[in-house]
Amino acid sequence: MTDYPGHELGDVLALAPSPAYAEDRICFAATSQGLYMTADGGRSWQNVFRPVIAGGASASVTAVAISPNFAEDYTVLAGLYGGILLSTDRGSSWQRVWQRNPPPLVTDIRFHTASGGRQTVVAATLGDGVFLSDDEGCHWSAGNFGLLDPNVLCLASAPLSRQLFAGVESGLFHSHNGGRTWNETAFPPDLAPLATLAVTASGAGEVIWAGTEAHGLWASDDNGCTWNYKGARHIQAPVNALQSLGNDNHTMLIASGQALYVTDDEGLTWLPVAIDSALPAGVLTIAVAPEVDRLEGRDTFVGLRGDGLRQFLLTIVGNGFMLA
Amino acid sequence: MSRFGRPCIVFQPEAGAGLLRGVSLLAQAIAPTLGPLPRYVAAEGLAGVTPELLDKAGTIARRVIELRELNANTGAMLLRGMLWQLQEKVGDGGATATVLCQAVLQQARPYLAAGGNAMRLRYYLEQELRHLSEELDHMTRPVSSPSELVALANTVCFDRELACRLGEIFDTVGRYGQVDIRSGYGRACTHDYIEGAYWQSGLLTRTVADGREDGRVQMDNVAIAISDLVVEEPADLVPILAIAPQVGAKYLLLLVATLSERVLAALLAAQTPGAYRIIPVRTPGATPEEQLANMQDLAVMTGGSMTLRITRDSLQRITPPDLGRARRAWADRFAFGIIGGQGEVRRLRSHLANLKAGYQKVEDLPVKEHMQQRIARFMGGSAVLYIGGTTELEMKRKREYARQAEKALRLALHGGYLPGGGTAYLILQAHLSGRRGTSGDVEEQAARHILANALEVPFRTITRNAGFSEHGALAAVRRAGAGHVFDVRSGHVVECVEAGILDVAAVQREALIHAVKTAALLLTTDALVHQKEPELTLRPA
Repeated sequence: MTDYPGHELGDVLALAPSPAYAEDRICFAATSQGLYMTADGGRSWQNVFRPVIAGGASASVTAVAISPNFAEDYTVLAGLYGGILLSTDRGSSWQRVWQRNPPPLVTDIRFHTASGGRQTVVAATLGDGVFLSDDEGCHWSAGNFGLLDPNVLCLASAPLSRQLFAGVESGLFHSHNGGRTWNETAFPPDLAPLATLAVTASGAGEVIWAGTEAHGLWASDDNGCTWNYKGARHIQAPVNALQSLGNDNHTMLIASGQALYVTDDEGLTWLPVAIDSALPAGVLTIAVAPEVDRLEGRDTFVGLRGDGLRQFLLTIVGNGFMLA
Repeated sequence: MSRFGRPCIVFQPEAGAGLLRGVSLLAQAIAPTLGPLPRYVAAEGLAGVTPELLDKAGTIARRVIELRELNANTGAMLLRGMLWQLQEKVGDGGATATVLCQAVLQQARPYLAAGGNAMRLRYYLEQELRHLSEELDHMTRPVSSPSELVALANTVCFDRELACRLGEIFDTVGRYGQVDIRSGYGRACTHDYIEGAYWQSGLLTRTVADGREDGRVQMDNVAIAISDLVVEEPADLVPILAIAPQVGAKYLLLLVATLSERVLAALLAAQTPGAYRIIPVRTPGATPEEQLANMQDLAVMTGGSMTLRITRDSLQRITPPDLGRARRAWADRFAFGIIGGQGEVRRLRSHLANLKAGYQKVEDLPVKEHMQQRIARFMGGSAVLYIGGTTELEMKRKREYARQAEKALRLALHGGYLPGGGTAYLILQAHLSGRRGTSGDVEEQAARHILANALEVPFRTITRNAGFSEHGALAAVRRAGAGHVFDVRSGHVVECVEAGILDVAAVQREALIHAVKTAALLLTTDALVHQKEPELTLRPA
């Protein structure tokens, strides 16, 4: 186990490895102490932006997203309380591109490819709904038609249907036009709020995965019309993070409480991931970097509550997975 | 001779022939306006006023006040009433209904003259109409892409640029969304979206407008007092001045019916720099019912309570939990808006579900429109379409087209679309022809025969209006098979959906129903009573 950058990062709220991680080994981490970046595959982390509030204390960076064309456009977006920051030079300099009064909390940022190939950046906020940018984050406008609940906690982009999903405090909405219009799915409001979302795709179609704060993990394979419970009985804590491990609907890594679980049968059975050391605090987010070397495994970053960030190597052992 | 002389009663066969003459005369005027290449009808107005150029059947019919021949006038007026009703209901389809109605009448008259039973024929026409209506429902497809919206808008406004804008707007705002169509300033059309909900009811005093050029007050962190009170005494205002700071708001948006000048003066005197501000606006709604509905919506949206005149409430009874909350608001002379209402989401969902259920049930058009506006306010925003043009006349025509297209798109989003260009009726004709030999009843057979012949008339008229041979086009479409249409712009037979030649299902269905029912009514009208004598009647000296 490697142990950087240690406890000083506080809460790690979001992680964004570069799409070209195999070459550049870059990953950004949004933390309660500011925005951090590694350019050496996690061996060292540098603070690239530290928002300051009145009195000189650090403020949290709550979301981070990296452009799918990062290798060419070097674009990174970070969300914080009251605004969004944009960097077009791999995080060296930042400009505030959007702010509102009263300031909303930016909870998630996604690069989304809508139908017709239109590239949109979507930002979710607590209180002000969803904001959209068609120019890689330079200008933003509200995209809240039909979104009845403006407290948006998480976003997910569907790779096949090009739909966008927004998990809100009281349910789940989807948009077919890149976030301009929203319709409610049949996700039961009693199971809300949602903490995390993911959409996986295979030849059989798409599966929407919804991790809730109090009712485990749920999934739908019919565009959100019906929902099935996917959490094993021992997964009781909030499901805070979801990460697909392959180009299919079967393999999924989730973070719940202080443990990670994995399934390779579409959520029918879940196995705790073997880790050579206990995670001392609750897991808030996980990110599995794009594959570097299939034999060695994949870099997996685990963001913890109040205890910084851990990095593991995810390897396939027999029929299971192991983090070492 | 006095205008209202002794009643004059006209019997068959003159009555029937006269009704048909009236319908045919009006149909002759309206038929050239059918299809994507319409011609216009110039209607003379008052002396000195430029004649109107019309291409909508309902409006053309409205301009026909009276025909000279009394028997024909009755037929024309019955058709006129039907067309106006149709235009009010679905905004379009009048020309189609006119040619269908005329065709049914023309086909049925010889049959009745040969001794057919009008009542039995009417019964079977209405029976078949039910089947045809069901068949149209089976053929209907839901709108699923923006390109279909553009195609549907284009069939109404015949303006690609305008259709594209309307398609994008409705793809964004959805079936219930609010779309305001206003005059623009340039040559082209533009559109914009307004965040949040707004009501057409403005500031009670401009003094609070911060001296801004547009007279608008922008607010954030707002508390809202929702009432329809008439406040006349400054003392009534005192408790509310103390409440807003308790809830931590920077602004208090005070909704009241009116404020007396003394109260306004006291209010302005109480606005101290740095402290929170009270912005008074008029309670929205023209009638007490509308005001109550708007206040209910505001209460749900913002989580506040209503303070009502009818229950003898006063501002003095308002407590902090009665105040609604919103993240932002604005107000100017004409309107005020709320962005990010802090109402309870479950209550909001249930209120919205009730409004939607009410919208589906209600038949009265103004009530339906008001409910749609109420639903739209909960959708999180509205769109404004600015119509540009080079002349006032062009802008006026475009605005009218845009309104009709707006209505059509809303109907299409609710009820789907059909193959256009008269193709849907040709498919119905094939369906009807397949059932022709299945009954031994002569009247039933006749009804099917009449309808089958009438159903191809819209297609023939569209083709003829575009200058093509209707027989050749019809044969080509039949060869190509179901779902194909003759594109009168290109002169080729094309697949309807691929070519974007579509019609709003509700319009096609209502046009057919209105046409056949009106024709059936005219066929069973046996005598005409005129209150003035026919002009040609010779009176003894």
